[in-house]
Amino acid sequence: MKMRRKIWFLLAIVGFSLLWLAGCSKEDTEKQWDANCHIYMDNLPEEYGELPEEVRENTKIRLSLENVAAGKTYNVELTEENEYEETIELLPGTYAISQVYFRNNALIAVDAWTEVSSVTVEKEGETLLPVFISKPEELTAWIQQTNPGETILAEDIYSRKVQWNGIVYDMQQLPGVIDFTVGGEESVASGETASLTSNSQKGIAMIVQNTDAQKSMPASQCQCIGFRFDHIGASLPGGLQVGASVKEIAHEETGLLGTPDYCQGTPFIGMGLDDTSLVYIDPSSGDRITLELDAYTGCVQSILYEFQRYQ
Amino acid sequence: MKTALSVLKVNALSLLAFPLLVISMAIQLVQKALGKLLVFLGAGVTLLLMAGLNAFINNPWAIIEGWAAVAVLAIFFGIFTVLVALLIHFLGAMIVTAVAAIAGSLNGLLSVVFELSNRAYSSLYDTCQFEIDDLQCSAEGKIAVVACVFWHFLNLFHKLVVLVFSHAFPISIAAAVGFAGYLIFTIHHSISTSFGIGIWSYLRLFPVVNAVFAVLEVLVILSTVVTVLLALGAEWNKWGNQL
Repeated sequence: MKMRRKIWFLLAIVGFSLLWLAGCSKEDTEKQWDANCHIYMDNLPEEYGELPEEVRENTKIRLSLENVAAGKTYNVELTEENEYEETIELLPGTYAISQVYFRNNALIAVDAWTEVSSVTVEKEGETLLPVFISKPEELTAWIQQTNPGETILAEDIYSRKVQWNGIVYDMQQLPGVIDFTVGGEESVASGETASLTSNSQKGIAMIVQNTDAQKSMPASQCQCIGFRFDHIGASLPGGLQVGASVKEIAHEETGLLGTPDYCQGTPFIGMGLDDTSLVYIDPSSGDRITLELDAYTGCVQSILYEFQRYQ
Repeated sequence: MKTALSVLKVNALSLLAFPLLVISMAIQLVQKALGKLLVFLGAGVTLLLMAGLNAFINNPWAIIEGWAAVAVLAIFFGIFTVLVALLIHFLGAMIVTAVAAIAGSLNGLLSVVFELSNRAYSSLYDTCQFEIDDLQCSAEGKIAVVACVFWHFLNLFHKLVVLVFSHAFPISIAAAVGFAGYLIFTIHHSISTSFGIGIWSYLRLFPVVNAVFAVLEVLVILSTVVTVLLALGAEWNKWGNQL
């Protein structure tokens, strides 16, 4: 008799536990009302799709909806992965919409917004909430500028040409076009290198070297030995751009530059351990291209073009 | 009527006994795996030390900045070495004690849960067995026993678990070989997809030190996983034979 009681007691515990585990979760609280809100990007220009996938994957559009009565907040993130749209299940009611954040460091500054500051979600219904970007035409124009044009695509990779914001330059002309003044006062020791940047143009730096064997000198007086590009606005011959994948660049048969002459850093590319650099050298001119890969994504994060390095 | 109720009871009890059996076995497996926590910790520390050594060999002057720092270090090298050794010793001892304490208390907690679930499972199993014995003696004996579907399912599952765990060691050898093969294949596939070349050609692109450290790091991970798999396999095998 005592044994039986024990069994029924155990059965009750197991039964209640199972009921509790299978019972009403937080998600089900929302699910039962079938009140949905579909949030989507409305005016992302078609040209946005022309950007490299690695660049698009960095885009994050964030906003939150706060239930005015319950004080409950729901966060939404529109990304390349969810194709910039998401449907969330909510409690029926009125929701205050937070400020919208559009983040992608590889693009120009983009503001995003919603037409309404609050939205009402009905029971057994779907409410649409479009999100807009300000001045989509500016983004379109910028994307078109960043696309490698026919001229740069036809150039030889070691021709020292670069397409910067839609215009093709000989790299040695760049100091005359862009004011590389930031960091000019810095003293550079003999044989050392420094980089000068511009106040007006982001994502480009001029690399200088003190070639005087005797004394230090200000960076502004050093010799220009190359340029570093860490922005999608720069295209090198063949369409080499920041954001390109290793396969696009370094594949032995199909890559833009083929197998590198040598590599630096960790062989574990894209595992978040350390950076890796792929180095290419032109045997005739001695020009060197160093592609720094992002430790996490394994994509090109900066392109360094140096003149006559030979090694 | 009595037979039908018995069949219903056996099925219901078997259904409830099933999660208890799963919980008991899962706890046993977790308890044995917890003992290997220190092996993983050791592998983690080895990988960290290797990464530090690799960074130092690649660019020692970035770590010891300037000749002045070298001179100061050279003067105080004796004290510095002793301090670092003491620090490593005490930190190591602290971490090992902390991990052992956490694993110990977790193990204690799991033992209590195991004890409860195992006792509950045994009671339910014994009751079912008792009812089945009774049913076999009744008029509709065979049909009634066949109708206890969940009881048969429970027994089948139990036999399957015993069968698998009594062969855990050979399975763990196969798993270790499989893991080694999978790791090498994954690395080869990743390199060949991105670069279109083999592992050897790829490693030759890097400075010797970086390539050697990369190979050593893979070997540390591989040997850790293989060691743990084989040790667990041997333990589970022993446990399976006792079941």
